[in-house]
Amino acid sequence: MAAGDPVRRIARALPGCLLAATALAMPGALGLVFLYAPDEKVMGAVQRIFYFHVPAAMATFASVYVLLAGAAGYLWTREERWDRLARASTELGLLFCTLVLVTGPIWAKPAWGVWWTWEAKLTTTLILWLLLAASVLVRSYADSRELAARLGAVLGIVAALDVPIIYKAVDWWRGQHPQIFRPGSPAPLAPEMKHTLLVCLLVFALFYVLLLVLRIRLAALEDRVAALLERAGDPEVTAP
Amino acid sequence: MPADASRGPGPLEATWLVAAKDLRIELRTFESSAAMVLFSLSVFLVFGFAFDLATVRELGAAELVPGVLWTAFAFSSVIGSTRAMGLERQRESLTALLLAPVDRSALFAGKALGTLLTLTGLEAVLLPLSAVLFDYDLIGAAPALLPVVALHTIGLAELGILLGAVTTRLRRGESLLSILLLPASVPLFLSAVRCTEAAMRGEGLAAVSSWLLVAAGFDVLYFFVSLLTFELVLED
Amino acid sequence: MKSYAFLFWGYNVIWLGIVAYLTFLLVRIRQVSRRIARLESACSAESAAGRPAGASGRS
Repeated sequence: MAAGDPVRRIARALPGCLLAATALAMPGALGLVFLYAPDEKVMGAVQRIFYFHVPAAMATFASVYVLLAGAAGYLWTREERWDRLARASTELGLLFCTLVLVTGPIWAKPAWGVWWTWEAKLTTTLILWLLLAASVLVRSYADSRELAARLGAVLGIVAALDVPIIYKAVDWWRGQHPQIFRPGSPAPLAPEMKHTLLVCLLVFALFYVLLLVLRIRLAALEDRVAALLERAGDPEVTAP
Repeated sequence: MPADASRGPGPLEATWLVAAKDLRIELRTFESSAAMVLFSLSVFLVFGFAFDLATVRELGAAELVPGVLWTAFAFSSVIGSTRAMGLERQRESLTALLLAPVDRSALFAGKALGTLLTLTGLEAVLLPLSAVLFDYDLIGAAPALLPVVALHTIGLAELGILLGAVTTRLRRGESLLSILLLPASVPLFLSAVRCTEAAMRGEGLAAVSSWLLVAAGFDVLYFFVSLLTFELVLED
Repeated sequence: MKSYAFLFWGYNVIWLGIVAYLTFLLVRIRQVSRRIARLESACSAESAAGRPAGASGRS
């Protein structure tokens, strides 16, 4: 353990600092959401889901872009750290995508009167969820870590490139039908709403980085266990 | 030419050799086509009961048949790709194929071409059959329908072979192909249904030119993605 | 008002999801770290004892 190495020391302290920062910022964000931001005139109180639904969606898309970078980096360099980035992003993307998919209908039901509509954003999110879940499954089915990394990277690239095409295609498809929800409707946010949203975005960004750092650290530890087991190789060490 | 023989075939020739090998296997056994045709017939049967002929007449065949057809084709491409990649798992033939002195991207192109031709054969049977069962004017729609079907089948075959290669690397992975291929090919599916609808209504392809562009873009994009990544999926 | 129930569940889902995943990560990290410590001590004990000639795991 190179405990004296300053870079290492910062890296070790990072999760703790992020955890503290999110723990401080979260009550502030909740306070803004419930006390500072005004009620939306048409949708009422339920519109406040927006302040966490939208940041979760942004975290999902951030994960997909990072996944694309990690997957491309791994296939290019074959270094394990790129794979750890891709692996962490797949799981985080799945987590945030699930949150978006659950909170969306909870908001939609009182606001639009339906739980779900086959609109471009919703459909794209659902398909993205399926693709991310399938790539988590593929990774867990693979026999070796190296194979899991390669297959996961290929699927990550396929999924990340697919998302904008799916969005465009579903948008056109729905374009010829009446819509409950018009995505481009220019609803100007009140300044209080804008401030609240910005703070919530910041809190989610902190959460995203925290979870990403922890997940990458977990991946690194798992890789080390696998390497140790491989090196030891004999039954008395391999036995748990 | 001995010098050429030692270098192995060029990429186009290698593509054709791989495709021809798969087609020869298929023509000897008809295992894949038989499964796909029977499966698609069951899809027609289920939809036939879900919407009886009176409903089809009332709504117009163009409203329902494209969806039924492409549902059958999409699931058939799952069967076809599983089968095409599954062939290589038997008796280590994948290793033999990888040892061949050809570029790995030619292996992809060959497998995809073989699947494409098998799917085309399936469509040649199913389109007339669907015209009989659901009563629409196939002859009138054919000039617009054929390029539409070809364009979208190419995409299905490409993505099917790439993702099929991914799932054959897993021990129990066959069941995963449908949950990978069907969501990933949604843009293709939407475009296919819209274009087929336009063809059946006799509107001409100009009305759906932007959809054709989406499909063509999808085909080209995933062709290059697959060429680049297929080797990475197969290597040991 | 009925929409408060939706709001309540919406927020609960978000926070439960994130906190559950965070806890999962922290617990896993601790488990895996313990396992690494155990494996490393097992490895070093073995190399200190001297490996028998037949076992050629590493050179």
